[in-house]
Amino acid sequence: MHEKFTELLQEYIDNELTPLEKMIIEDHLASCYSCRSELNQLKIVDWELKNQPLPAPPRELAKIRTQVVKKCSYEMRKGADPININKILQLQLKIARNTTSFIRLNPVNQTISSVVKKSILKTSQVASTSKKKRKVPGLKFIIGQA
Amino acid sequence: MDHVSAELVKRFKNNDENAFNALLAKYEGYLYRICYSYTRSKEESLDMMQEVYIKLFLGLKSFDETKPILPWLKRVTINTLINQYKKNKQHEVPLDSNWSQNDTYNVNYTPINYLSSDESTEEKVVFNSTCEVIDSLIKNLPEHYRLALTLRYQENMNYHDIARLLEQPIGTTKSNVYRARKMLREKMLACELLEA
Repeated sequence: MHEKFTELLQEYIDNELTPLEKMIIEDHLASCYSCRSELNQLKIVDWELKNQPLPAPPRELAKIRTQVVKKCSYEMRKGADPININKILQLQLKIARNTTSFIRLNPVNQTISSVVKKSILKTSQVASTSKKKRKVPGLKFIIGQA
Repeated sequence: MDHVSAELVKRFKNNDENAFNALLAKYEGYLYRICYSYTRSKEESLDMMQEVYIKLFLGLKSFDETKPILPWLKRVTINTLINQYKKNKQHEVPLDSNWSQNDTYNVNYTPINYLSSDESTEEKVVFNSTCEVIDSLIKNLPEHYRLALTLRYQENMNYHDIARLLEQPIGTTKSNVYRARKMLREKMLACELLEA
């Protein structure tokens, strides 16, 4: 199979080749049975796609339309948006909850948060001890003064 | 826009629901076919049309009746298709899961075997028309291929417009259409709808 011609055959069908490319492919097609066969098959596929009969709309379609119109008009008369705003808010809430639970579950985040927690604890401990150290001479001074 | 449609839009803007029904009755067949050419399923197309109706109902109030209505109706329908495609993409199954490349060359893979393998028991019917077989083959193409084919063949859009609409490079659009045609060709060969 001539792989390099496969894309050219597709472009040939779409009539998107430059005159030079067209000349090259036509020259190749004249001597290559497999590419000629592939081109014919692709042309049939293209024809089938262009001429595919699509079914007539079913009867239910009009019924669905009438129902939608009735429902939307009713909601409009009620003064609400036909797309229930509460539903949207609930959905957004659900998304936010899922996102936060995902962030919590993320192992990388857990490691980072534990490291941060540990470092905070350490710094607070260091701070408290240094405070104590600083307080001691102060107290001595006060006691001495007294 | 033609006079009748413009009049119907005006009436709808004055809260006449029947005008909406009359207007859509004129165009819904065409819109349904766009949906069907993508979904290849009656039920899915009807679901999609329901969404389209809601969008049209909401949007028609602000539609300028001096402009042609059909392009707007088409745009809303195609946007609904694209939204559906994006939604489905999130739950995407691996490419060509329904039909692997090797299956094409499976000797025991007759058209009837293939067609009945993917359907529910109720839908296991004998297909006797080429069009129905092709319809089923298209239905089993990956979704992004079907979307590209719908826009290319049903809407007669060029590759530039499809790429712009789907917000993807033109090369991706072209390769989706090319691969879809190639895959269809292989499937048709396997189903003996094409001569080898």
